[in-house]
Amino acid sequence: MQKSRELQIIEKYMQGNKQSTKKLIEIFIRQTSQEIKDLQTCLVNKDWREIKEIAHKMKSAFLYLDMPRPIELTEYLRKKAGTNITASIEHINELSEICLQLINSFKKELKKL
Amino acid sequence: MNKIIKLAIVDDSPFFRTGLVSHLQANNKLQIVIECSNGQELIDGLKLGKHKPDIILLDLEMPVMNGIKATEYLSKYYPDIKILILTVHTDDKISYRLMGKGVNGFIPKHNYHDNVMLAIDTVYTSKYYFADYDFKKILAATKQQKEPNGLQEVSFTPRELEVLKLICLQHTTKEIADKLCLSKRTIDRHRENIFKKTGVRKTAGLFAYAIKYGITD
Repeated sequence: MQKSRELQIIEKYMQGNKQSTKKLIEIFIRQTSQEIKDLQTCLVNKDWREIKEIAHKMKSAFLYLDMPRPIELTEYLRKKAGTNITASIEHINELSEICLQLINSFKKELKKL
Repeated sequence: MNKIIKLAIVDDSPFFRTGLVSHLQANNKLQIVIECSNGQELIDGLKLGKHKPDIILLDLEMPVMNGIKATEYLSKYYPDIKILILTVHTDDKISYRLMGKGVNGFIPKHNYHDNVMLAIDTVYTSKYYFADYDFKKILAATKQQKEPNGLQEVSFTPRELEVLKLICLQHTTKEIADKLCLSKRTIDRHRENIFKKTGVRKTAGLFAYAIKYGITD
């Protein structure tokens, strides 16, 4: 299986250091899994302020991984969460889906490192 | 440059922070002395007095104490520590506000790998680093605002104005003295007067002042 673009980016920035690469992937999986859960909880509670804060924190990771669509989604949520509820829900759901796919892909890749 | 540069890294995203720390640790010119997730933890670390960083890489939006509040505190109590802001913002007004508070530069998070070493080296050698920031835009933004951060326009003597312009061109006191055929002591006195008149505390603040009032034009 070919390495994902995101893994290649992490490997490049970690300058081939396998331990650092593994550590960073593990942190991503842990942090992002929690953030998705938190987003969903906040959505149920309509806590838009907290959603904005979570989205801001998530955006840093996607900037690091150079992922344009999640950057757009988090940027929208950071600025406009709650202004249009349907759009906010759609953005959160799309973001969650992308994150879960990436987490699964990282989990598989982690086993090979 | 032979001296080891001591750094503090402050960012609430564990992923981003760890990535940045791992990247910088690979460079033997650098030593990470504080790693934490908000401004309050940074201040607590500094108060312990174990390690004092030369430069702080500081995120803006963080819980407990954000980057703006931390900058205000650092500017007051640790004016000799340089501050590089890690930012997802490209909002010129925010940049301007922070310049007025004494930051030494900005590193956009979206391409920090390309900028971070240059930014650290540049800021360490007493200069400023503003990657990707268009100062014409900042100036335009500031001209639309009225006293966004309390900077008041004041009148300078022609000599003070000359000194201020040269400070903003990043000349040292000695270079300014040589250029104007004056003593270093005289330049220090002019510098002191400029600080008093503008009410700013750090050279970065003078830079912000000069941009705002078009003194660098």
